[in-house]
Formats: sequence, structure tokens, C-alpha cells
Amino acid sequence: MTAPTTGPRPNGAGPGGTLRRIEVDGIGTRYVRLGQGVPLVYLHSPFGEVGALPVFGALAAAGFEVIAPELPGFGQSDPVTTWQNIADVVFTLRRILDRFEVDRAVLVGSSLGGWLAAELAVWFPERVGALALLAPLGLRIEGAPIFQIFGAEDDALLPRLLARPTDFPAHLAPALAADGDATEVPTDPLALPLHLFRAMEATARLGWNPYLHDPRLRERLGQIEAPTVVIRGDRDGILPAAHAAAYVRAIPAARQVEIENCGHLPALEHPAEVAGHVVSMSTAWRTPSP
Amino acid sequence: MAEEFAVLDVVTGGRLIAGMVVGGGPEYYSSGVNPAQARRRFAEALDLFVQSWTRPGPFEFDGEFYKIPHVNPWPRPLQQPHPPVWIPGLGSLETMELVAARGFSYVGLPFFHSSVFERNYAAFRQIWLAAGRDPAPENLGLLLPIYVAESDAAARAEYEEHLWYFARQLLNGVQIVPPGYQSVQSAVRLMENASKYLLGVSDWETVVSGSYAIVGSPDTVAEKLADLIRRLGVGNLLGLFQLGSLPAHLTRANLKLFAEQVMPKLRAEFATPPVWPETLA
Repeated sequence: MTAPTTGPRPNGAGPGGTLRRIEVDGIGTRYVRLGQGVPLVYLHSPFGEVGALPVFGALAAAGFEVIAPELPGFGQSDPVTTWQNIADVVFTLRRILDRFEVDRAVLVGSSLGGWLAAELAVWFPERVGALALLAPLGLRIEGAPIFQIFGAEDDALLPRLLARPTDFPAHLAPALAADGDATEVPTDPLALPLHLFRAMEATARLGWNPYLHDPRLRERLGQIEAPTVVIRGDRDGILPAAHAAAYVRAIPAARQVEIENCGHLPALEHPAEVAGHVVSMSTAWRTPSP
Repeated sequence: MAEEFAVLDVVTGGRLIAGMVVGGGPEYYSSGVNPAQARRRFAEALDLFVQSWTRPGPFEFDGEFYKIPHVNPWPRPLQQPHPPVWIPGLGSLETMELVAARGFSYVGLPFFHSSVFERNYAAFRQIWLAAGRDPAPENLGLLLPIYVAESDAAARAEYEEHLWYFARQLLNGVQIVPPGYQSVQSAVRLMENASKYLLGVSDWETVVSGSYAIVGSPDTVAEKLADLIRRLGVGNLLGLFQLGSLPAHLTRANLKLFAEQVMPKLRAEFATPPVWPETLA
């Protein structure tokens, strides 16, 4: 068992992906907790998707207890202004897992969250049962640069981000919900710009330079023993295909899946398909090989 | 850098003003410095500067961003305890609070409508007084493009094309703001001021009525400057006498007329510094 953190136990599963708030080492952190079964932690992308998302429902229905923290500095979670790089986030994330009394979980990470999941698997392998990396950032590949998301205008960014760019506000609407009420639809037209303003600030804090990667990560990926699936969309205009391929080459137990008609955020665009791949990958983990 | 400032202070006989800038938005893209850490890093760098000037070395500086085992600069500045520090701002309240907390001096960045200056300088004066300090026009500066010629018509004829060259060819890009560089509050403030930035101005009448640049005969320029100085409560005027494509001979004529015919008027007008409106109430 890991070192206990202070404070009351987090609430149980709320109805349909309700956002709740706890303190982790004094940092107010929002989260969704849904379903019962094998613990699964979802780590969001630079755009901070959280709340009542279809992918959480699909995973809960497949027998997982889904825990999706809104990382510090994103959305309405408190920021950690002393963060300087991804390692700082990894240690904060470890404390978040402690707070939820999750010893070992399936980690599903999207983009930035995929990078974070891979780092966690490198640093704290005992906490990771299986890995699903969705278009994971974290590597620098010569000749295959990550699209510059900082300062990008919507008309340049969104067609690279999503196969259906106009769905962007709908995908993030659940993250704008107030604590404790997943059904309340925010009416403030500034809610989404404000959400993105904070999300980009938090992402810049840890990924401005080196740009959205950790120069040390690639040489460490070989130490990951957890079964891993790397998922990418065929129409991802943010992260070139070479990145997913590099992850698959570096992690011994990794295989790759490509989803059709899908951009950089498969969990949002193809939730059922992603849930299906997570189920088959984690079944491999729970069925020990002879 | 603290050493270089100190050398300048010594060779100028203690006339140095040290300008410290958080850095413009585009510079974070070109330098690689993390904009989300900009303000903490800047505040720490200020600490390092002031300590370098005032603490006998060698000493250790152990900051979040700067870790120096032996700070031991030479020479020390001539001005004691240290040269005045000036910090420019676009209207971020964080910058004003930092200046007020440390007793430094503030100057608003130019190329805005005068109403933006009025709003920002009122905020600065309030923050300064709220920090428990006495009214201090000498800690507030005004930076403006100035052009003086024999008559208002001659000034416009000589200056206008060069101002437009600057506004349309050189100014664009300065307004880029990287993520993490500003608080939400400051970003909203800047957005509100965006329509009052020279970049969006297209006619000469607006340049004149908004005091984006002070252009005219010596009498016109002196009168307009005196009015602004009084309304803003500033004790320092910083003129931008060259802008864009303004050629050297016009710049020299501008400086000469300003020195000979505008400065004496302003000196006579402000034998004592302007009084802050807050202290009149």
C-alpha cells in the first residue's frame, strides 16, 4: 500500500460523469469517477476534456472503474505554478493515484495524457497494469515535427485536431459543467475560451521548451513491461504517424491500432472503438501468460 | 548584466536608469523561455539584480531559476543604494503591483489611445497609494512619439508617411501573446484595449484626437503634452523622436525644435511636479 494522503475519501461514482472536487496535497483537483471494476485512469489531452464523456460511459459499461482527474491548472482544478517539466507532473499524478487509493490501474492517456501515462509507466511501473496511448506526445522525431499548437488559430488547428472540426465545442462542453451537476449546460460564451486559455497555459508550463517532449523518454521506454496499445487516427494532423510507430518500436509489449476517419483525439471521436481496444488490451494483462 | 549596468552607472557619473522588461510576447517564441514561468522568473531576476548591486560579495544566490554559487560582481554601482529601476507595462495589474511593492518606476508602453493611458495610469496610482506609498509623479513616466515642426500643417506633411510606415509595416506582431504570459484578468484588459491600438488606426484625425503621437507646432506640442502630463500625473516624459522611416535630418530638426521651443515651455509649466488627482479629493 502506498503512503496515505490526507483528507476524506473521494466520493464514489457520481451519476453519469459528474465532476467532483478533492484536495490532493492541498491542490483542489476535479475528477470524474464512474463505474465499478478494474481501476482505469484516463489522462486528458492539452484541451482538458473531462466530465460526462461518452468514452467514460463505454469504459464503465465494459467493467472498469473510470477515474478521470482534471489535471492541476486545467479547467477548474487549481494550478501548480512550480511545475517546470513533465517529471513534476508525474509525481503530482502519483499523489493523485494515492489519493484515490489506486494501487495499480489501466492507464488511458490522450495526447499530452498519453505522454504522461508513458512517463508514469517508466517511473512507477508498479502502478501500471496496462497502457493505452492515444496519439501520445512525448517524443521528438527528426523530420516529423509535432504541429505547433501554441498560438495556432482555430481554422488552422481544428482541421488537424478532429476529422469533424465543428464538433470541437461539443467535445469540450462536458468539461465546462459546474461541480456536482453534469447536466447543467454553461451559457457563458466566454466559458470555452477561458477553459482553453487555462488549458494552453497549463500545457505551456510543462511543454513549451523542449516542445511537448522529454528528450530522455525514448531511451527509457524499453523498460515498460505493461501490455500496451498505441492508437492513432488516420487523419491526425497534430502528431505525425512516425510518433506512434516509434512508441510501438520502443515498448516491448506494444502493438499499434489505427482508427479510420479520426483525428488527434480518438477517445472523443470514436469512443466505442477506443473502449473496445482498451478492453482487449487489458484482458491480456489480466490473463497471465503461462 | 548587473555588472554591465554598474559599469555604465560609474562611467556616466551615476546617471543610469536601469530598464527591466518582462519581455514581449514574440520573444518567448524566439528565445525558448517558458512564458508560463515569465513573471516568477522576472521577479527572481530582479532580486538577483538588486542583491548584486547592494550586497557585498561573494554570496550564494539560490533561486528557483537562477542558482549561482558565488555572486561577486565588480564594480558596484555609483548610485546608492542602487540605480533607479524602470519597468514598462501594457496595463497588466501584476506588473504595476510588482513596481509598487518594490518602489520602482513605471512607464506605459506607447501606441495606444490616450484613454488607455488614463485608465492604466489611474490603476497604477491607486495600486501605488494602496501599497502605502506617498504620491510620486517621479516614479511614473510617459513614453510617446513626438514630432515638432514650424506649423501644425508642416508637421503633418513631414511626419505622416513615416508614422504610417511604422504602424503598418513594423508594428504588427508585437501583440502576440503566448500561453501563460498573462493572467486571465490582464488578457481581458488587453483585449478591451485592442481596438485602441495604433495597429487598427487608419486615419490621421484619430492619431491626433487619440494622442497616439504628439505632432504639431511647438505651441501645439507643448500644450498637448502639458495637458497629458497633468491628467496622468507623470513626472517623467520620454520622447520617441524617431519612428519608422523618419530620416535623420527630420529627426534632428525635430529634436532641435523640441529642445529650443517645447522644453522651456514645459519647464516653466512644471516648476513643481503635477499633483495626483487622488490627493486632491
